[in-house]
Amino acid sequence: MADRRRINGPASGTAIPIFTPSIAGAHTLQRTRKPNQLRKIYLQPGVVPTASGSAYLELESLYHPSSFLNAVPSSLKLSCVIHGPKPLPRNANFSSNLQLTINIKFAPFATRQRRGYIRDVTERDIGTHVGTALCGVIIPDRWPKSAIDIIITILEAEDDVQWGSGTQQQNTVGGLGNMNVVSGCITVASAALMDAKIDCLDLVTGGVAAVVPKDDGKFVHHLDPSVIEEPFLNSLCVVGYMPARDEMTLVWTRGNIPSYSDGQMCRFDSLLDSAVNAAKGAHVVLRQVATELAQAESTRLIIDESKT
Amino acid sequence: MAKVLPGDVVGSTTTHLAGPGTHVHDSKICASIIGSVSTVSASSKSGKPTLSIPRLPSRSSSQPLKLNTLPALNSTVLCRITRVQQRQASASILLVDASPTTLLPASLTHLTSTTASSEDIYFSAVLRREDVRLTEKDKIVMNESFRVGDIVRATVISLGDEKNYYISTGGNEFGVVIARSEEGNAMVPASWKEMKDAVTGRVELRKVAKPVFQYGMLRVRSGARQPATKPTEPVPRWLATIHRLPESRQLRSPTMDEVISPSEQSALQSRQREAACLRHRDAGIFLLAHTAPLHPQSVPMRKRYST
Repeated sequence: MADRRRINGPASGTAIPIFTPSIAGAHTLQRTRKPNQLRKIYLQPGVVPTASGSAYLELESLYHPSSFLNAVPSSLKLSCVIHGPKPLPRNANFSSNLQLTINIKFAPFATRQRRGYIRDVTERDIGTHVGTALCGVIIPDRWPKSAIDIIITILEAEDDVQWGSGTQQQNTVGGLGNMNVVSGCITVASAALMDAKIDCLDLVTGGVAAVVPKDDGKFVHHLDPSVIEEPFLNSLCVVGYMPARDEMTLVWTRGNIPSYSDGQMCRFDSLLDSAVNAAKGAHVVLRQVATELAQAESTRLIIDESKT
Repeated sequence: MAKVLPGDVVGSTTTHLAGPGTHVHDSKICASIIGSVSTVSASSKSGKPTLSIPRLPSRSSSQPLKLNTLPALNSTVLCRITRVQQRQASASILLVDASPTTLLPASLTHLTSTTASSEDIYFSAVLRREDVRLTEKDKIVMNESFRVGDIVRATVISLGDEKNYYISTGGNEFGVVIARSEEGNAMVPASWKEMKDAVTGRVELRKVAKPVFQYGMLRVRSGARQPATKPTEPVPRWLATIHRLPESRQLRSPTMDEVISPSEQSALQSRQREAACLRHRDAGIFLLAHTAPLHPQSVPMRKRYST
C-alpha cells in the first residue's frame, strides 16, 4: 500500500497551519493607491533557454505591517513556457492552422490552501479563458500542421476573498484572485509568444477592474484591485486587450452592475473601459520589455543585420 | 535599424507588398513578430518592393539554434532516414533551408548523434520510391539508395497529410550527405551511386548528393603531383595534405567537380582548411564541407555558384 511513486512526508502526519475563517476585530486594509494606479509589474522574457519562448511575471507585493494573521501580503508570480511550433500528435486531424494547447497549473504551495497535483476544474476554467484571449491574437495560418504548447505555472496566486473577514463575505463578489491570475496569464503568455516569435496581431495584455461602493452610496472603479485591500466589491471585469487595433479578445465579468442614482451612462460600458485602461497600463510595461529584448537581440546576432 | 513590435505599422499596401513576418490590416502592413524590417526590391519593374521581418536566431551562438522554420514547398531540407521500406523511406526533418547563417560549428554535433529522432520534436517526411531519382525510376531499389541513419538532402514536394511531408531526392544535388558504413566508419562519396568507407575503402551503394558549395567552392585534384596553385604562392597546408591521401581515399570521379578560388584561401583558418580537405574522421566535418565550409565571420557571403 506504500506509495512508491512520490516522496511522501512522515507517515504520522504533520501539523499544518489552519487559517481561521474569521477573526474578531479583524483589521481590514484600505487601498492606498489611487483608483487608476496599477501595481508595479516585473516582466522578464527569455528565462528558460531550452524552450522556444518563455517569460516570468511578478506583481508588486503590497506590504502592510500588521500583527494579524490575515494581513499577509499576496502578490502574483507566474512563469510561462512555450514549446513549439512542433508537429501535431499522431492521432490529430490535418489542420492548416496552428493548434494551441494551454496548460495552467497552480503550484501546490501557490495558495493558502494547499492544492493538489492533478489539474482541477478551476485550472481548466482559467485555461479556457486564457486560451480564448490568446486565440484572438495569434495568426494561425502561418503554421499548418503544427501545434504549440503554452504552459503557465502559477508560483504564487492571490486569494479569492479576504481572509479574516468572515462576516463581510456576503457583501462582496468572489473570484477576484482568479481574475487577477487570468489577467497576469494573458500578459505573461503574450511576452512568451513574442519571445518565441510566433506571429501575432499585436501584444495583448490583461487588465482587471472592479466596481467598489463608496461610503456615500456612489460607486467608483478601481483598476488592478487586490483582494487584500478590497473588502467590498460589486462587480469585476477582466479583459484581454489589443491596443493597436483597439479590440478585446476576452471579456469575463462577475457580479451585478449597480444602478446609479444619478442616471449616468450604462455601467457595463464604463466597467469595460476601466478594465481596458488597466490593460493599457500593462501594455506600456510589455512594450518597454519588448523594446529591451529587441535591443539585446541585435547586439547578440552573429551576422550583421545590414546584410540581410 | 529600428526594431518593430507586433502590431506596429511598417508600411502601406499601396506602396509595398507584405512579406513574411507581417500581416495586413485595413491596407496597412503591420508587423507580426519582433525584429527589424527588411525591404526586398521588386522582382519586376512594375512590381512593388516587399517588406518583411526576417526571423533571426535570438540566442547566443553557444546554444543550439531555435529557429522556427516550417518546411515549405520547394525548400531544401536536411533529414535523417528513420525507416527504409520497399516502396518508401521515412525520414525526420532536421533542418530547413540550411545556410551558413543557420549552421554554426557548435550546433552541428546534434545532427550526427546517433540517438533516434523523436517523433514529437521533428516533422516526419516520406520519400517515395519514384521520387528518389529523376531517371530509371523503375529500377530503384530502396535499400541500395538509403539506409537508416543516413543524413539526406532533399526538397519538399508536397505538404502532405497530417502525418508526413513528402520529399524528393531527384536531382544531382540531392541525396545522401552523411552516412556510416556497416562497420560504423564515416563514408565519403565516390560517385552518384557509391560511397566508400573512409577507413577500409569498401564500397556501399547509396544515392549520393553532389557536394555543392553555396558560399565558395573547393577544388580537390587528387592524384596530381603538382599543387593546384601558382608556383609563386605557397602551397596551403590543407592542399598538400590532400595529395598524401592513399588511393582508396581518392575523391575524384567524373561526376564530382569542386572549385576553390585562390583568393579565398588566405581567408580560411587552419581548422576550416582541414574540414575543407574532406578528411572524414568526423562525419560532422563532412557536413560542414557540404553546406558551410567557411566560418561565416571570416569570409564575406558570395552569390551561389551555378553548376
